[in-house]
Amino acid sequence: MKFPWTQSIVDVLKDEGKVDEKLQHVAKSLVKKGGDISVVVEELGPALTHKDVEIRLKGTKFLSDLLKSLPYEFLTTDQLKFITQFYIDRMKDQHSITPQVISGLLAIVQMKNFPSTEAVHILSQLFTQIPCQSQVRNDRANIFSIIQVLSENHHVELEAYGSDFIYGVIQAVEGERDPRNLQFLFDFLPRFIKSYPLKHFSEEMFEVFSCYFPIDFYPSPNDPKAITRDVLAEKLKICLCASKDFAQFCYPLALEKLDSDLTVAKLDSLELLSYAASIFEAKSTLEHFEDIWQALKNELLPGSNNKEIRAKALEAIVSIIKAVEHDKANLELILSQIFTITIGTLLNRDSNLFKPTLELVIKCAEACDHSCMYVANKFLPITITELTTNEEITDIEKREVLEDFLKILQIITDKNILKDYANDNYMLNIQKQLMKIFISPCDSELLQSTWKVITKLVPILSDENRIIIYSKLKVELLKPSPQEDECLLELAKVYPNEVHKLVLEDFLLKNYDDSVLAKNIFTTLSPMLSVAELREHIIEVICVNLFNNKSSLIQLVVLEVLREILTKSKSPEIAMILHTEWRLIIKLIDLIKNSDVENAQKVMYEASIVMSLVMRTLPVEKQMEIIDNYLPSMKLQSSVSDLYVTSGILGFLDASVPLQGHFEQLIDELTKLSLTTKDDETRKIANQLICSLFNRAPIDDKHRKILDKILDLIKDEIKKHNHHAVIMLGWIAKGLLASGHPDASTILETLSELLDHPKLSKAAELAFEIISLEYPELHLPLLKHLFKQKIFVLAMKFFEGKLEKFSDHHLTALAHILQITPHVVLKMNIDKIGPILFKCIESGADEKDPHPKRVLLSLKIFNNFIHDKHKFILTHLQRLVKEFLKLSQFKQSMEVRIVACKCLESLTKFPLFSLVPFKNDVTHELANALDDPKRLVRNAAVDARMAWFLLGENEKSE
Amino acid sequence: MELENINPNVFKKSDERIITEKEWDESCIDPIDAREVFDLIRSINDPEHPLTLEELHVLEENHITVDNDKNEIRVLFTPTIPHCSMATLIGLSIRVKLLRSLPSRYKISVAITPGTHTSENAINKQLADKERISASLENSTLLEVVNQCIASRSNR
Repeated sequence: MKFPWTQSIVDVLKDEGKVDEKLQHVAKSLVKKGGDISVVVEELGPALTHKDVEIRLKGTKFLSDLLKSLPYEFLTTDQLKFITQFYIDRMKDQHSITPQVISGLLAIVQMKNFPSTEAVHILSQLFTQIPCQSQVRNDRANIFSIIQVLSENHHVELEAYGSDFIYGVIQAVEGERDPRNLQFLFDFLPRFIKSYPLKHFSEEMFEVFSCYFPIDFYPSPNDPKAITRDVLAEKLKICLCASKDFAQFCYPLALEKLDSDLTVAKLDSLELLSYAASIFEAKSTLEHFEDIWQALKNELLPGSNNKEIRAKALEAIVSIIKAVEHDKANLELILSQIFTITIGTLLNRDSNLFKPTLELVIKCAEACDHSCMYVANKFLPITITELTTNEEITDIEKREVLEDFLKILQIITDKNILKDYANDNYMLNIQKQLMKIFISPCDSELLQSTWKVITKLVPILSDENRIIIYSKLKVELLKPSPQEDECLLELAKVYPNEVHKLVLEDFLLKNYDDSVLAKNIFTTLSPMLSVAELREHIIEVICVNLFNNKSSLIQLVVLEVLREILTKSKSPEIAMILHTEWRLIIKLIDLIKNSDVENAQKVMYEASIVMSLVMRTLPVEKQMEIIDNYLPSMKLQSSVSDLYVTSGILGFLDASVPLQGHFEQLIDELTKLSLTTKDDETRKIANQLICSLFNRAPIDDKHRKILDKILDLIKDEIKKHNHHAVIMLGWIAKGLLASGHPDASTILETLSELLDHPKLSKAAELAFEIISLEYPELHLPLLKHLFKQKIFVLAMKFFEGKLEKFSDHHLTALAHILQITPHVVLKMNIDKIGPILFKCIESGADEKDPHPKRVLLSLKIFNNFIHDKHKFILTHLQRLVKEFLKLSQFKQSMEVRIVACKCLESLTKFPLFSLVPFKNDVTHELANALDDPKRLVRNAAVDARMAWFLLGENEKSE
Repeated sequence: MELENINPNVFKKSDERIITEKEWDESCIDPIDAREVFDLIRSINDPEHPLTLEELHVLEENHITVDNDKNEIRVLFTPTIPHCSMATLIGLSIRVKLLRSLPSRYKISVAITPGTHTSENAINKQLADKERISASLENSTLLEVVNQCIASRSNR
């Protein structure tokens, strides 16, 4: 094939502009016509052998670039052999040609038909002819890539090449300085070491890595894709443990660097120790254990204050113990070494080494089952000794002993080996001591700790001790006692029949008349509903007291307990049983209907909540069945109890239950009720139901018509200045905004216009508060994604541009909206909301007409921005400091004063130079807040004032 | 620097003050009491050890007296050993922290618990001397040391 040009090749190469174009052309025609590459090389001859280095360089570059642009399976084995030989010859040429030779070789070795026989050839020449570390960064990277490609594709040949190959690689990579190349090498070399035995070069190879340890590298701040120190350190750690022959060097290295004063060096060394122990054979770890333990002991006992170092050192110990987990003899050897040092300290609680030692021992126990048993065997006698031999031990000390014992006990429980200690003498002895504590009068906190221990010991308590505990619990049942209740629950899970017979029997089947007593007993009983054997008895006593007891106080207690257990328990099981076996819903409906409205409204309310909680867990068909049975007969306007029943049924209804048939009538009755009733509680429930109903209503013509009808009604009422109508409008807006209804924005607009209304502005303000507040008992089945953002955007649209005309009502309404808006959204709109927030706090702090709620909301938002160190704060620092100082003496609300002080304190995190001008003002002004009548304000003021006094102090000490 | 007291006894920290409902009631006035003063100074660091004065029992709540009628606050502190050379510095730190945290209407006196230090009278005299206290705070090196003792925000 002939070159498609008329000029001589040398002239073409001289003309920079055309070379690229020609290159593309040659590559294309080669591939298309199936030409022979050797012809091209021959054609290039004059350039490649030209006496001017510049031309030779360009010629080689042309060939290398050509090779790179060819498809990878295009060249045949023979052709590749030919070109390889050509490039190997080129290596001897002048040094400026070398980069092109390297890039050409990289292209060749990646070819599909590259002959394995040439691999050794290329590498042996590369190692001898081109000193890798004298090349520039990019060429070094190319050489490493050549080595990588060859070593991964031609394993057999290169393994036969043997130690020369390993030596060559070591020579090439040794002393690499560039972080990017290092990152590549740290990734590649562990794989390389795994597939090629290092033989006698393992020390040399280790040296290659060890000189980087610990990594001390800071990426340039302008580098967009900077490699971080931590990434390199993590990779280096893997390299240092890449071969099992490295163990003999790795441990001494880690220990040597651990001795350093640099925190980074210590952390890296400890990290390396942990990793090495998990990678290397246990045998090599054991050989070095004595030294390792000495070094770690220095870090831990008493150890530095650096929590990170302590944690890593403990991690290292755990890692070593885990490495010998299955080798019981050696594990005990290690642990005995640790315990010879620590046991003395463990017996002396007053020593300041006690805490760190205990921490170490507990970590040892956590490591594996065997170590846990070993530690327990040492620790149990210590606990006994502490509790028994010391005659003068105080209650506080006893408590500490028990709390520490509890930690070990927790680990034993977690490891599921508690059962092994059922007949353990020490355990029995400890139980005896616990019983002694029960019998003798003692400090209440000690009793609490004792109960905690007993709760953990439940599965292995001896029979006679259980009897003592039961009799004790029987007394405790009458008092509010969460710790004891937990213990009883644990006992009930393991010995349900005993608990029933010996503790609960007297309390079941009884009609209570003392509400405090009933509360204590039912709080204890209700968690035990989860124990199947006891469930029936407990539900029975609950039902007796709920339905057959005439005292509304007792009913209230039972309902509150039921509500708590239904809200807390995650499994719907209990609710299901309450419904199917005990027909709770129907009974509650009867209860509500038969209650006396005047005296028992609270009972009706609680009953409706419990009802809705049970309803929530029922399957959809069941829910529909109940709706069809009960809803049609409800007369909401005339009967308050019917309202509560309706609220109980609809409270937490599943979103998929259709209401079509009932919707219009329900809404109709509820709105009338809400507008006419004189009772605020009734109105609130009606409004919440309206809100929930509109939230779940599908967006179709039928439901829109209903909505329009209601809105017309409300408009008429607004004309009559009925502020209940405005409140109701707020509730409707809340439901619609949450579900993302298209009509919601018109309602919100109406509400924002009402803020200007001479008579209804206060009500409109309240409506905005309703929109922003969250009510736990209000169920909104449909929550549109990002609806809070939507509310913010809408509100801003209606309020924007009116900043000057803003009345107090506008500001308060807006503060409520801002309060629920996610912080990210506020951040994006800081320019718009910043002035509003300022106005909120400045006008709200007016002496004559203060608005504590609005000021508090805005201050909290400001505080969030301060925590973000937002630059808006920095530009308005002067104004903010002045306002905060003024608000720190805001008479009407202590909360405002506290938050103002907190804001001032958080400000100190800003750069020193920006704060110094205000230091004197702040410390001087805050002195007034130090004499605040409220302690919480004083505390906040002290914190803030100290922070300002100590400005810059922390930076100095660091 | 060699430590004078190498292995001091460490005591348990008392719990955080429990916030009562009354403290959230706007209409009630909470007078400053001994516990509040104790809370202000208990987290001061010992100059020798990474421990607080409370943990070393240098300060105890029952050694603090507050008289709100006469506007007087009296704090007694107990050096860990009778010849502690840091006693003056500890006293100074307590004084400075209280000066910065209490309303100016109080007259504050800081002194050593009687019988717990060899040069008790000399130190008490120094700590009671207003001129000397303010003069010592003009010394920037000393002020830095005092600030470091007081700067224990992580503990609060």
